[in-house]
Amino acid sequence: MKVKIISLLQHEKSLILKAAEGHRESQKEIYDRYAPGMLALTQRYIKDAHFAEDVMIDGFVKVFRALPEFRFQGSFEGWIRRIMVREAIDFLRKRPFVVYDETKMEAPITESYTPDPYQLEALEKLVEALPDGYRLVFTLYAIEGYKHAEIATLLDISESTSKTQLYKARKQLQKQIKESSTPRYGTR
Amino acid sequence: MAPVDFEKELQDRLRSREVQPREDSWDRIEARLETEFPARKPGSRKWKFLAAACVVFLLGYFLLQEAAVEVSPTDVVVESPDSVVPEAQNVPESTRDSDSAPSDSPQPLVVTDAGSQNPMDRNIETDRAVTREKNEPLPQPDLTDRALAGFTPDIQDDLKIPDGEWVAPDSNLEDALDDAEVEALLSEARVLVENNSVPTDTTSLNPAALLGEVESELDQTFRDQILKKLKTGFSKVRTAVADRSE
Repeated sequence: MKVKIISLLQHEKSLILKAAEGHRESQKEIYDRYAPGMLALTQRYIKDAHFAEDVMIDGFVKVFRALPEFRFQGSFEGWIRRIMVREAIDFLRKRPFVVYDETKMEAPITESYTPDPYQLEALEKLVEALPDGYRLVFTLYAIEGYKHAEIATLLDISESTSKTQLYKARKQLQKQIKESSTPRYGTR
Repeated sequence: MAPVDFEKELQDRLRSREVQPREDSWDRIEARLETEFPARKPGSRKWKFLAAACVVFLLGYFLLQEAAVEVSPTDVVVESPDSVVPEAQNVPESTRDSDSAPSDSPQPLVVTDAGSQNPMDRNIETDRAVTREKNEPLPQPDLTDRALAGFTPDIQDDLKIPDGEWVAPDSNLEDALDDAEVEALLSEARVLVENNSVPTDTTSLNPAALLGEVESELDQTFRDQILKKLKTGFSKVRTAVADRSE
């Protein structure tokens, strides 16, 4: 098992090195391997599927351009993800339809909730339905694992704004989950 | 802000999610990459080297071909051993006595027409021999007393051309002359050689005589100087004696 992982990593390294030299076949292999995940990522930030794909394509061009600078000091997939996230945020920044709610958060959310798989699918839809500002900060924090300081730098907002956005996104999600899980009796 | 429980599950689910891009997405990326960074195939460098080697080889081949064409068959001089014969065969009977000269004494190359039947070839070989006589640096003779004692430079060549009369062979001459003219020139030269009208340098040198002459000149000079000194001294003494006696 260990040998298999090492050989896979070595294959990936040689693939990256070849792609960095401009070998088109290797670049295509990298694209085939990571494009589906990266398109899903860009679609989480950009609702329009066509724009999301354009952003993914721009992101891959930047990946191949910056490939000679990759130092193999972390996950290659993580490195690509960060490029894609930055690309998506740059796209959103150029289109000023993201509005951040600056109102202060009230109290920390402590409620515990573990949804079943069916509810998780519903939760995905709830996240997608969040306002752009909430969704952006929630996705960056909860899904991509960025810190508030990093989010603040990325989105060019203050750290407290990032925290407020996250708080409100969580609150809205919990409220919607609660509403969707409350049994309704009778008919109207 | 601590993560809410469902977020971890949501993270795993969303991060593993995949959406297949459209078919032409890679083509679009490739088109952009092609404009920014042209593709480099791994074997392309090897093929380039191979192509360069082929070009160099072909160039070299054609250059050699051209060089081979430039040398016409009439210019080819075959140096056969027959064309250079030992000195003893060419030296006239009257000068064979001077064979006691050391073996490292200068031996001029003499060309005879024994080896070549074609008059044109003979002409070229004669020219070449004369050119070599003029241009090749001759080995320095041994000028020690032992060698000089019996050495008498007595060079007798059948074909000796004075320095002033030698003319470098004209490469265009062969083109301008036809066979009849060449024959006429050759026969003229043959008559000239047979009549021995070509002036030969038969000046003989006797180093011993030369040395004696130089020594006598030196002796004379030395003797004159001593006599001059004695004369000067004698006149001074005589003047002094005269002054004293007065």
